[in-house]
Amino acid sequence: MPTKITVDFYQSSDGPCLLLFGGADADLSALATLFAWLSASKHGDSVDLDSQSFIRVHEDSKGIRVQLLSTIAITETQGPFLESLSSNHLIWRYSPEMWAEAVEQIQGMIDFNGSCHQYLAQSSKNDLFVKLSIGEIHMH
Amino acid sequence: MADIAAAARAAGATSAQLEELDRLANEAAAGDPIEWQPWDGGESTTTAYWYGMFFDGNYIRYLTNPSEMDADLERGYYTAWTVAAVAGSAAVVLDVAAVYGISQIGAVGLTKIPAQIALEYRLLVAGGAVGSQAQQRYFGRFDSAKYPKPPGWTPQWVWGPSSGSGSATGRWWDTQGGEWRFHFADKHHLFDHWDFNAWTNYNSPWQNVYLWN
Repeated sequence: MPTKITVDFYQSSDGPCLLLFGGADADLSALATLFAWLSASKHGDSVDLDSQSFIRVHEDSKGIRVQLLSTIAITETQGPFLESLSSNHLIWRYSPEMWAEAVEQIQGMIDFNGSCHQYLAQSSKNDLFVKLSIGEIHMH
Repeated sequence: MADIAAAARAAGATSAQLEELDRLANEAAAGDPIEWQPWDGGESTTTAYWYGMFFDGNYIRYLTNPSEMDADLERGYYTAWTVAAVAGSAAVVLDVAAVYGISQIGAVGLTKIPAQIALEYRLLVAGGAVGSQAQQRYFGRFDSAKYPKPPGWTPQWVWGPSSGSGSATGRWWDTQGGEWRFHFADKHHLFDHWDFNAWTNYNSPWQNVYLWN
């Protein structure tokens, strides 16, 4: 049975990072399915990543809310893809096409079938980024 | 370059702001920190062209849908503008402007008008602070000398921009098209390492390559 993906929002060496990580058997397919739903959903649909059954919130990020939003095609001039409303409330805003691209990134990891990571989202407006890492980071 | 300075003043820039921008530009260009000169291989005169080749199909999309142009391309513009300003070559600036569809530089009118870039241009020339911020974002993190060489590095590797749209850090590109990005240790990464992407597929993932590998 696949294991949960851990979420931690922390200050990485590259800036504020929403890190999704897990072991080699982490449930990438469930994450891809969620993103695929967002890519097919209507404008304005949103879901909280932290409340998904395949997600576990890291101890250091307890109480965090990560809101995933599917919106019409956007550019960063209209608002950052990633936004930190507070220290424990993040919004990740993507168009359906961008969610579909994120699904393909996850598929690249599944096909690779080894320890690896992807940068799923990066905001040039505020340096926030989302990284998905499998088999690389020790659970702690 | 005089017409650019005049345009900047007309847009509200003060002499102090322009002098500060000049100072920062000179500082940034000293020693060619982004190794700008070798990038274009004599085929073009601007970093913008390099970006254009690099982004391939996206480049055309950006030109035809300027509102979608991402921040990396904006930074490419800033960089080229800055280096050009230091070189004192208005032709290079115009070249960059043409690539990005700038409608007007000084007295020279061009054909396309992407509002976003025109606005960025006005901001850049009108405010030393804005230019400085963009410049520091770009140049400050864009220096190959900050990092050890990746395993297998040869002088044929190219130091260039990121494949992604959100990061301003420089990357080594190996002769097979692989991208190497340095990653410092942090809470979840105990050791400094290289992020490596072989880019054998459009969705190839990244791998950690440690310095002792």
